[in-house]
Amino acid sequence: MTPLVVPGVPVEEHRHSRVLQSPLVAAREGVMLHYDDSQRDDWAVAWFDDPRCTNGYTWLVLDDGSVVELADPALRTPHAGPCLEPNANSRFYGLSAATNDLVPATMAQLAVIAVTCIALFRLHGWKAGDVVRRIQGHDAQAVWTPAYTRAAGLSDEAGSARWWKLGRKVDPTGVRKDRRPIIDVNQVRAAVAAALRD
Amino acid sequence: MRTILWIEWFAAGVLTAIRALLLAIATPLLEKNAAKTAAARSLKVPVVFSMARVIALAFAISMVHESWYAGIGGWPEAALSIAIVLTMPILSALERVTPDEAISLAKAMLGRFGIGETRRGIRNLMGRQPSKYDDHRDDDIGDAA
Repeated sequence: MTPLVVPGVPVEEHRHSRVLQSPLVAAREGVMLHYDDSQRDDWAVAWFDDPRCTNGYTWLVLDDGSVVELADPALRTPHAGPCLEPNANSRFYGLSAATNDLVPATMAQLAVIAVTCIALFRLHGWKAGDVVRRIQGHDAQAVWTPAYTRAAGLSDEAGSARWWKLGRKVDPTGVRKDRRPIIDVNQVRAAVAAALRD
Repeated sequence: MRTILWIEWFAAGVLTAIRALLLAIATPLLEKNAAKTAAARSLKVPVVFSMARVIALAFAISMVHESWYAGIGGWPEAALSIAIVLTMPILSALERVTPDEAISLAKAMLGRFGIGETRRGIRNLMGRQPSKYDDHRDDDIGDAA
């Protein structure tokens, strides 16, 4: 199958076969932003070759703004898990900055994330007024489920208060003590909306 | 005049109570070994905290926090909780044993490292930070849908 090419996404490297990918079970509705908890770009990219890897994004944006396409954009990747929006792995493209909970995304990463979102909005014909709905952070979608609280060692009695509530993930905003976001989702939305209106 | 006396009496009572409360809170953390406090007394430091007691308290707080939210997830965590409870009596006893006996105890403790089942799946309490070990293959939200 020929991979989908999204015009305008500045992909520098394709590594499609190594990330878990499967057919969509729902139509694409937006983009979900992440960071991947990596310290070094080469280690971040190498992890997706490891057979233990059970996580993956459509695109990984490195520190210098170069984009590694980890999966065919026409397929779903395991980037979201249980979310407010059902079938989130399919409904959202997974777009991750290669960074962690301490280091804010670089200007180059933020710029390329915005450029990628703009390309997707143009590809699907999504409106500038929909940026808030269509560009989502993982933290604004990821919910706890019984499976996750049990895996965390919580009894159902203790875990049930969290079920189907937000708080399972903190990316891409992060929880830095100085409150500086790792990726400011609103900043990305504003940049995308401004570019689409031009 | 009578009112002023009542206020003064009440304020003195409150101060005494606060002082007693602070003393009760601080006393378990103070150094009890006279030899260790002697130097501080010569410098007119009124109280000396015991580093061991402060560290034991910090471990106790973190374990209470962990068990409050996530329970005791296996023998290593149970052993750590028991060790925290027994820290002060053991430290007191260690001051009276020979170096050989102290080393034997340390060897026995170190020999237990890595033994026992523990909770699976998370690096820390609830793993909210993204991790390369995350498994997001299943995006089904189950009964809530």
